[in-house]
Amino acid sequence: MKECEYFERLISDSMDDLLSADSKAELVEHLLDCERCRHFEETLSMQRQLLQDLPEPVPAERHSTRMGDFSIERDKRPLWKRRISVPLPVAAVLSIVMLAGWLFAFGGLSVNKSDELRRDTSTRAVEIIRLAPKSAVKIDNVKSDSLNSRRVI
Amino acid sequence: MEDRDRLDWRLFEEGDQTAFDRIFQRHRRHLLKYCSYMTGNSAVGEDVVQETFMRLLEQKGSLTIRSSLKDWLFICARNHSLNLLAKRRRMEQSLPPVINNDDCRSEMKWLLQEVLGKLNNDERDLILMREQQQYSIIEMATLLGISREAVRVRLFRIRKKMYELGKRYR
Repeated sequence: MKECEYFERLISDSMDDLLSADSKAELVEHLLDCERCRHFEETLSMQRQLLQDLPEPVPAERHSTRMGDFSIERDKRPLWKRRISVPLPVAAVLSIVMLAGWLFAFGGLSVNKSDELRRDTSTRAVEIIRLAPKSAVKIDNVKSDSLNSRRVI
Repeated sequence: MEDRDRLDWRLFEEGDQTAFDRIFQRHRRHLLKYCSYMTGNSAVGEDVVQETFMRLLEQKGSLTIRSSLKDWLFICARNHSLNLLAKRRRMEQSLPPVINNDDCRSEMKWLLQEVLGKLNNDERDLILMREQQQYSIIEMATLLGISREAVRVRLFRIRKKMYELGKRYR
């Protein structure tokens, strides 16, 4: 393992053309035997090639739109594990709507309750008033009947 | 290229505006590539390149090119990119250096950009200078004002880190 670290340094140096002929030969010999260092060397060479081939940046507008498309493609996480980002204006509107809903639900209910109470008391009062003359009439009738009966008697 | 740069710069100082356009066209692409991958944003990269050429314009009549105009432009763009990244860190905004493109949809290039995003600014700067801009170790040591041995060691560490990061992403 420690030996491999030494050869990893040699691999890096070889990429920068810093190796002597002897070191080069030593490295080639080691690479024939060591799969781990061969993989390291292949990966570094590939990374170099990819870095050189990285595409030229696209103009800003196209970049931003394509970034959006690409992020959708890349995001394979389940829905409950994704982060949901809400833009500030949308969040503001949502919070206002929720506040209005809350006020309507709780603030409005108390007004309705008092209204209902008022309505209840007023209807009861009307009923009492409505009932009152009838009973009074009834009483009057009874009284008049009794009076009449008395008269008859 | 250096001779053409010197000639065009002299012509520009003598009043030939098209000479400046030629310098711009000659160096814009490689500067934009570096700045965009360094800052992680092609729009920011474009701004940095614009700013670099604005500074070059301001140097009319007073610029003394020691090594080459290419190096002067690169160092100017590099310093500006690093300053922007330092400010961004202060503002605690993170921006992964990912540039999208048609060609970039291959998994390997995507992976590489992810790995670049995990490097710190100095590491990304060094590896881009070496692999993308293809500066030699000696040129890098001269431009950065450090020893060749230091460049060599740092490049090895960065390559090793990129190798480990690449393994983790797979």
